[in-house]
This record gives sequence, structure tokens and C-alpha cells, in this order.
Amino acid sequence: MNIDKAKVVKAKTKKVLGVLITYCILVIVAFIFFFPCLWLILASFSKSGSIYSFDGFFPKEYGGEAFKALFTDTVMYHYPKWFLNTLFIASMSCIFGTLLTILTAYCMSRFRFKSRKAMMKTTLVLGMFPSFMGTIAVYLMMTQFNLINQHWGLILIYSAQAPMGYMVQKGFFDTIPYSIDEAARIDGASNFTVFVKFILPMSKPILVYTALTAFTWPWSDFILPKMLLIDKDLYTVAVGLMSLGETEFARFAAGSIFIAIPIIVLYFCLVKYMINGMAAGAVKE
Amino acid sequence: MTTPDVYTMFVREMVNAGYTEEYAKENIVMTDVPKLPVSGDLEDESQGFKDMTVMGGINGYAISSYTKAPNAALAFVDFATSYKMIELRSKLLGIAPARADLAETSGELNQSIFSNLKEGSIYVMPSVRALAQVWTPLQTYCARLADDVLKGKSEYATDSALKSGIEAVDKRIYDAIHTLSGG
Amino acid sequence: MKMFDKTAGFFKSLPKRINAIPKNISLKFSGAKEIIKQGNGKVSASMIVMGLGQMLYKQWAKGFMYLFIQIAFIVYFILTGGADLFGLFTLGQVESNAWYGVEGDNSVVMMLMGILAVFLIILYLFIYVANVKDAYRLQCTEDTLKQPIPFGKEVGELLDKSFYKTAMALPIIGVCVFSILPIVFMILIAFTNYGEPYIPPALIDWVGLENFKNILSLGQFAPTFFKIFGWNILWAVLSTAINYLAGLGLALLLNKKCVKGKAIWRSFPILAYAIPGFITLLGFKFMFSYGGPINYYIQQGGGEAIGFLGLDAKWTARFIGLGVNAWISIPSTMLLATGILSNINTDLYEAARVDGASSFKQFIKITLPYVLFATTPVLISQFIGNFNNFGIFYFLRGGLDMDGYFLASDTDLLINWLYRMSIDNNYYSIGAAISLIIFIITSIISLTVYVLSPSYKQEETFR
Repeated sequence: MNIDKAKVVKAKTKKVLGVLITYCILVIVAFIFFFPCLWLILASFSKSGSIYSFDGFFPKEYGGEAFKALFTDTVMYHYPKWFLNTLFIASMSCIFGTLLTILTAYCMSRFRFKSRKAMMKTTLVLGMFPSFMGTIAVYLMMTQFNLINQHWGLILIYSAQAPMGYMVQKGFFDTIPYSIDEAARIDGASNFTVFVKFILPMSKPILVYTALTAFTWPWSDFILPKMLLIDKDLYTVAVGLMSLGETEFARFAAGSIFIAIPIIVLYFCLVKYMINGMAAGAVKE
Repeated sequence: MTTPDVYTMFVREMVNAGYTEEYAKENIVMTDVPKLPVSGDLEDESQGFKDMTVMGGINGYAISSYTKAPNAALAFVDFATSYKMIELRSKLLGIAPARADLAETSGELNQSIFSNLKEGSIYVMPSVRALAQVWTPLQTYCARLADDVLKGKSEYATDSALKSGIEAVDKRIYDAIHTLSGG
Repeated sequence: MKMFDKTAGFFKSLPKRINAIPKNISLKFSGAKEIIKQGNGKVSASMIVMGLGQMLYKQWAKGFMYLFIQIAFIVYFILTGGADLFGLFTLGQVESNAWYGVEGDNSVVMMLMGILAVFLIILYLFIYVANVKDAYRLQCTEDTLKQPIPFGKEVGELLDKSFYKTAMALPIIGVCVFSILPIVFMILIAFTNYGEPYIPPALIDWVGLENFKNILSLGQFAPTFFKIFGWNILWAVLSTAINYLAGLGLALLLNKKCVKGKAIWRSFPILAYAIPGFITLLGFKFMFSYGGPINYYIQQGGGEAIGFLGLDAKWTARFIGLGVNAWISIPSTMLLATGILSNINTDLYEAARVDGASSFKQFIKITLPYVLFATTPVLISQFIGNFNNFGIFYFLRGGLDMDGYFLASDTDLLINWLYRMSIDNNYYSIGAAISLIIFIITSIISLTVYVLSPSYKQEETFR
């Protein structure tokens, strides 16, 4: 009996130890991920604008000057306008990009046409080309079409390049059983009706995932806007913040926090869809 | 010398640390660049010293000879180079004015830049593409010099070391510019 | 060593496949042969004037559409297309001269418009072939049904059987113009001498393989290339492995039954994921700099400031790069793994536990193979993404010129080196040649892995 008791105690301690270690690791990981964000937030509330007056990780004095300056000192750095610019570009490219991507993914998933496998291999291979080399060509094209220094040029490029990333969406559509299509077609629906009336309503997770990724990309991309936008007032937030200069770190942090907050809120509300979407990109057995 | 926004940052830091603004502005001064040997060789001081010539850029206005509205263009240039406008430009962007009357009244920094310009100690940067390839090697070299001091090493403590360092930078710039075209 | 067998099998089947190529080509053209042999007069009419055949079958609308396309194309070709195509081969002959007011040719723009012309010609050929096939189809249906299909029904088909054609037309055009055209353009640039001093308004010429010869022989290109290439491969493998395994590990940890408040623990990595990349990179750069917080605490503790990202910090900087990249990428791999793990059948684990397998063995034999199988495409694209990760070392270290490297620092990846050469130093053609080499290498690696992986073969099983 005693040996059994000892074994049970040993098993229990092992279990408790396991739980303890798990929680320890979780705390450390949470800290590692949270700390730089915390530091940025604190930096944006530092009273003096520069990075040299910090006590290590913490500003010497706190104040909301950086935020105020962000919105009021708009002669050289027109942050509110940058914000609205980026909002406009992101919304438009979200709408068009999602539309094009979903259409492409659905067709690649449902139809078996002759050049399909070739197209899949081609897009896979083309996606590996170091993308920024292509931006020189894109810049030249935009000069020919007179779309330099215009937001619609950016929107056009983002939307047109979106369908290249159709694999995740296609994976999702692959998991919707074909029997639904067949049942609908027996009732006389055309493929278009099947798509609009049956498949789309079922695809909310992937729609949200696509829209979210399409929406957040223009906020962090700066190579393309830097090349295509010349007027400082037309900048997006990413390019604008990069142009701030080293002496205005608090402002840079404040500007970054300000754009990060809506993105973070969006991500949190839609984390379920994100997980679904990423899992959909996987291959099912 | 440095850019005006770094200057204002230092002044602001000193004010935050408790000094008065006058004290800060008095004590953060712009010094002149050091003099260099006339012979051009860092180690050879036999021929004495002269003022260093630095590269600078001067903004100018040009009117195209194909313009359809020459008088309007001329009027604009007159406006843009007037006293008030150059003063505004200097205040907003920190660019030293090239007007003699403005340079005298707008602070020590602008004054010394202007006098350097008049004496020919500022050489206008060549407007060639090859100039873009000069900066990174120089930047790396300056970082090495700063590293040297910060870490307490003495790799660049002697003139000969500095000279060979600069020669190495020179070779790198030359390679960068001429590898493709000269071969 | 299944992979090895599969690769061997692939190469063994090559001779058979090569022998079969002529037969495959003739198969593809058998349709064409049939049309030419059995087409009647109206089909031949369509071959000469697009849409004529359709109109002779009384399908006026479609006929006029095809005719309109043909006229539009001819107009385009006469106006600019022909000149553009010719310009593609000559790349400009008149040098611009501002003194004489001669506008001259802009070689780069000519190449771009030439490629566009080629694309449009290919598009037109597709439409032309479709036109002829359509005429032949009309002939066949008339022979069998004694009356052609009304146009209205054909439009209906666009929304039904041919829905994919309607839906994909716009995306394909967009991708072709904005993704494929730039790539073709850059590949062609690799065969010109676009670079200092041949930059517009000077004229550029085709030089064939000279850029590749230069890379191997001229100056310090070759040693720099191999050094950077070696580091790049090491970096891609290490960072992908670290991100993937750590993300998987984190997901497994959070999946454990004993963890309460999963959503809260998950929110921290998501926070890191949501902040745009360049912001965190600049933050980390400052954090590890001489005047930054970490060195501040070190100095307060009495030590000397460490140059984490400084000039001599080759391996420290590389290590920090790996760490920062992990910080940025692990949240997304964690989310991915969480989604996939939720699909695993838990009975498998029960059975394994009953059989006495330790948790480590369960991981190796059950979890890892399943997750690897499910995410092979994603893993490949992450490998490529890490291989071409421009931002990490661009922001973390900036532009430095190290000894022994030509226009690069010792932590630069190939893509950083490309950027320095093309944008800062105007060596566009060499940059394009190197990116072509990178592209060939990475695409060979990923295509082989992708095609040999079980994920590609089992794509059909879910239908």
C-alpha cells in the first residue's frame, strides 16, 4: 500500500511541477512579447522629445506633449492627414483586393480548367522573386500611366498584387464539400448563383481573414509608398513616420502607438477568424 | 557643425535639466572646423596650415530658357529671394540664408557659414551620380573613429593611422564608382 | 529517406518524360489540326477576319465583338505597338540632347512598353484562337442540331460553365501587368548594361551574358557573393526552423489542459504581431544601440557598453537579428499551429499513452508529422520570406561597408546587397543579374520540395 501511495505522490508532484514550469514559461514569454510594446508606449508619453533623456527603459518625465505635437504641429509633419490617407488607401485596397482574391481562389478551387496546375506552379515560383526589384519596373510603369503621386496608383498596385496570395483562401474553399455545389445545381442554379447564394455566406471566416490582412498591409508597407508618393502631404503613415528624424523619437513612438491601437483592436476582435484562416491554408488529410 | 534640429534638441535638453535658455545657448556653440596641412599630407606639417574646405550645397533658382512666362518666373524668383521669404525659409527649414544682410542678423551659425562661403571655404558638391556612392564608406569610417574613442582603443590615435584609414576609404569609393565602368 | 527515393525516382523518369514531349505537343495541336482539316468556309472566314464566321452564322453581337477586338488591336499596333516591339530589340537609337532640343529615346521605358506590347500580342493571339475555336464549335452544333446556340444562352454560360473565365479575367490581367511584367522586366534588365554610366538619358544596350561573367570575374563581386550567399542560406534555415518550432511549441504549451485563461496568454504574442514591423525593428535597433536602455543598465551595473550591433559585432549582430526576427514572426506561426492542432484527432494521443509512449515520443511521432504535412506550403513560403527578408538587417544595422565585402556589411542578406547596389550605387544590371540567380536557386529549392511533398499530391483527396 505504501509503495502505491509513494507512487501516487510522486506522480502528483511531477504533475504539479509540470504545471509550475508551464506557467513560468508562459509568464516569461508574455513578458518578452509585451515589454517592447510597453517601452514604446512609455516612450510616447515621455516629456522631452528625444531618446537621450531616458533612465534606461523609462523616461525621466512623463507628459502628453508628443501626442499633442503630433496633431498640432502639422507644418512639416502632417500626421492627421497621413492617417486619413492611409485609412483611405487601406479601405479601398481592402475592398478591391478581397474581391479579386476571393474570386481567384474560388475559381482555382472549384473549376478544373486546362492551365490550372501550370498557373499554380507559376504563381508559386513568381512569388519568390525578390519583390523590391520589381518596384523599379512598377515605378516606371506608374510614370507612364501618370499615376505617380496619387493614391489611386497605390490602391491599384495593392489590389492587383493581392490575388498572388490566393493559396490560403483556396485551401479554405477546398474544404467546403462539393456536395453542396451539386445539390444546388440539381436545383438548377448556375455556378454564379452557387457562388453568391451558397458558398459566400459560408465563407465568413475566410472573408474576414482576407479583408483583415488586406486592410493592415498598407499601414506597414513603406517601400512602395516611398517610391510613388512625392508630396509630403500625401504620405502614408509608414513613410511619414520614417521621415521624422532621429530627434523626435517620442513623436515617432506616439505616432506608431496611435496607428497600432486600431490594428490591435481589430486583431483582437477577429482573432478567431485569424486562426481559422491560417488553419484553412493548411492541407487537410 | 551639425543640423539645426540637433542644436535645438541639445538646448531643450539643457533647459529640461534645469539650466536657463541663455546659459544653454551661450554654452552650446559652434566651433570652426580644424585646419589642415597645406601639403595635403596628413603627416607633413612642414608647409603650415590652412582653413579646411568643406563640401556644401547651395540652393539656387533657375529659369528655363524655354519657359512660356519669363516675366512671371522672374517675378517669382524676386519674391522667393526677398528678405522676408529667405528669413521665413531659414526659420522653417533651418537652411542658412545666402543673403549677406540676413546672414549678419540671423545668428552666429548662419553668420559663420556665410563668411565661410564668401572666403571660398565651402565647395559646392558636384551634381554627379557618383557622389551617392561616397557616403556609405565615409559613414562606416566615421563610425569606426567613434567606436575607437568609445571603446578606449587607440587604433586611430596617430596621424599615420588616420591617413591610412582615409586612403582605404578612398580606395573603396574608387572601387565602388569604377568597377563597372572602368573595369 | 523517402525524399531521397523520390528525388531518385524523379530523375529516373526524366528520360521517359523527355521522349514523351513530342507526342504531348502533337496531342495539344491535334485540336488545331482537326479544325483546319474539317472547318468549312465560314471557319476559314473567321480565321482571316475575326468575327466574320460568327456573323455568317447570324450571331451578330459576338461577331461584332470579335471584329471590334481585331480592329482595336490593329489600331494599337499601328499607333504604338509596332514601334514598341521594335524598340524592345533596339532599346533606343536616338540619344537625347537637351542642347539641341532632341528628345531622344528613353531605353528603359522602351523596354517596358515593348514587354507590354508582347503581352498584348499574346493576349490577342489567345482571343484569336478562341475566335476560331468558337466558329468551329458553331459549325459542329449546326451540323448536329441544325441551329446555332442563341447568343443570350451563351452569355448565360459565362455565368455558369465558363464562370471561371469571367471571374478570373480581371485578376489575371492585374497580376500579369503588376506582378509578372515587373519580373520579366527585371529579368531582361539582367541582360543589359543598365547601370552607371548607362542610365537614361544615355542609351542602354543588350549585352547578353556579360553581367554574369562580370559577377564571376570582376573585382570583388564573386567573393562577396559567395560569402553573403552562405550566410543567407544559414540565416534562412535557422530563422525558419526557430520560428516554426518555437511557434509550434508555444501553441502546444497553450493547448495544455492545465493552462487557464488561454485567451489572455495568447493576447501577448498577438500584441507583438499587430504592431507594424518597421516600428518594432527601429525600436529594437535603438534598444541595442550604444546609448540605449540595455547598455544603460550595463553601465549602471559597472560594466562597459557592449556594441551589440556595432561594427565588429558580426556574430552578435547576427544572433540579435535571429532573436528579433523570432520576436516578430513567432506570433503568426503560433496562430497557425493553434489552428492546425485543433484539428488533430485526440484519440491518437490516448492510444499512444495507453501504449506507454512518453510525451516527447508522442510529439515526434504524432504531432510533428501531422503539422509538417499540413503546413508544408506555408513552411516553404516562410523559408522564402526569410531568405528575402529585407527589413530586418536594413533597419537593424543600416548601411555599413565592411572590409572584405564589396558594398556590403557582414550581416547583409543578398537582398540588402541588391538594394545597396541598385539604389545607392546605380548598379542596376548587376543587381538584376544577382536577383535572377537568387530567384533561380530559391525556385528550384522550393519547387522540388513542393512537388515532392505529400501535400501537393494529396490535394485532390478532399474533393
